[in-house]
Amino acid sequence: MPIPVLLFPYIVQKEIFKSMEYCELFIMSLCSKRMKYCVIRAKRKVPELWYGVNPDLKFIVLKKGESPVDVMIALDDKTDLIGIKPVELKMGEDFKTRGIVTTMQPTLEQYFCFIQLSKLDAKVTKALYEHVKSLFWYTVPCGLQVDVNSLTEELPKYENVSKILVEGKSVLELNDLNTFLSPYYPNLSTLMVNCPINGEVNDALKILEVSNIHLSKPGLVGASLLSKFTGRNIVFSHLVITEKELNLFIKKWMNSEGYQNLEMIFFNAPPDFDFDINLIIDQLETEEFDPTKRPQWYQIDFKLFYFSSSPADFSGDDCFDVIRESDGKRASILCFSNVFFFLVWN
Amino acid sequence: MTSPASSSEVKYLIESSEGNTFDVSGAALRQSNTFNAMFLNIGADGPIPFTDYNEATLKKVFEYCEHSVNEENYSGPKHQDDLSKWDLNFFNEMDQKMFIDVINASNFLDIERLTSYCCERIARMLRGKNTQEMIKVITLPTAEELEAKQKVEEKKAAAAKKVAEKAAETAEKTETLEELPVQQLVQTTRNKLTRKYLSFSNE
Repeated sequence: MPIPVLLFPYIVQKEIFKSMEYCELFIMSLCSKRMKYCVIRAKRKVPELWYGVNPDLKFIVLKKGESPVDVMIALDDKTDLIGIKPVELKMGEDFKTRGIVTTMQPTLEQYFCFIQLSKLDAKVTKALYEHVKSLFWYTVPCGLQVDVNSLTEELPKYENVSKILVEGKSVLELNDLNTFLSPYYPNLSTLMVNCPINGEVNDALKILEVSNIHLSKPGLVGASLLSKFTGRNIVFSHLVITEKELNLFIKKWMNSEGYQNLEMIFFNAPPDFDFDINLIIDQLETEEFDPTKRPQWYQIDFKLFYFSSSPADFSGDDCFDVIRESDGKRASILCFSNVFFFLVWN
Repeated sequence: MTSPASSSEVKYLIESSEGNTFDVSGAALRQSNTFNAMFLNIGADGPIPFTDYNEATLKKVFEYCEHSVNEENYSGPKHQDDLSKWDLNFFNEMDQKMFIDVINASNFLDIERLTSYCCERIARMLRGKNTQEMIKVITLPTAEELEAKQKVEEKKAAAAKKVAEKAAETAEKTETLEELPVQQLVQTTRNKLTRKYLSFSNE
């Protein structure tokens, strides 16, 4: 049954758009210039959006609260379009290309728009970004998920990005990361690197301006990044570090020689490692847990893409408190087997 | 015959574009915010002219209102899968033209529940479609059709503006007509304005 949606009054159009999925609105906006204008006029609010950039796949996903992400749009680099007739697509301000638009249904209730293009270059990425940006009303800052091999690609100027996830199998060079972070992302608060990382840490690196950092495979970069860290939260997996270095770090914090903004450090060392807490707190003035001075449990917020919050018990034989001289601020050290926590209480 | 009472027993006469009239219960009619804004408190001395819409469309719209009188308070559209058998039959009985007319009438009468259901039904028709399939469903209008739509909207906007000006003018005059009982004056003025507004809409 054909329905002349454009001939309905604006209020009816808006009501129809309200009942549609975001990916359907995107597809609808590709139907005609007038239709795109109507979708823009309705300006649906979107939850957190993540832009995904891989060498052969660009995508946009939605993150609703703590729920898993829903793919909204995916652009695939396909050269075997023979047999299916591509259609002309107008995206962004004036970009035209040809591609095959289909909808995929990964779950019963979820659809996403899948577009196959013969060429997936910087112009397409830019047009997709501009197009989506014009359609929706962003309510929260966006995230950016970049493959390590796409870091050096020409990318659009993604606005209001607060989280970046770099992932892949190749090694990320700190210099490449610095070049990538340098021109944009003034609102970046969280960076997660989920690939091996290599390079020399110096004070001029942009990564040191990020408040929350998570390195999954820090290698030798981890310990030196920790020594220069000025942000709030830092998390490592498989960090190679000695008890002496940790002792030095705690001393610096207690003497206000660094880490003024620090809220939490959490990491695990390689699986066969077992920390000796006595070496970590060697010659430090420590206190045991006292329930009158601070809570026993703390709800950890990793502020990262994949991590959900979980409560941790800051008491027992493997937990010690230290006090910062300058302002009397209290922090707890929790250390068992290969796990280390340093939590500053507010 | 109509009256300003709010009891569900009261019947109102509705006039369609063909000039035919038919009864609708007050309870059903009160689902229309347009009706509530114009007639609920002041009543109507004669048939209420919803003459932009034909009898079949209006009857269909009020059939829905009569049916949903006893339903619990409206709290947003139900998922199409949750619609009752009656609701599904109601929608399935309509052909394309009737469906479109019902949406437009429901929108004019501001019957939130019916408009939402209809719009969700359209959204459902578009689910899982690619651009080409979507274009077939939404039947992109020609430039002439869009122009005609714009003219209608401009005409309605002009009529609304005229009514607002008239209302302001009348309000000024009523301040000087002290010899008339205030209540009577307000009611008479409102009735006149309402008829005036409806006649603008029909032009």
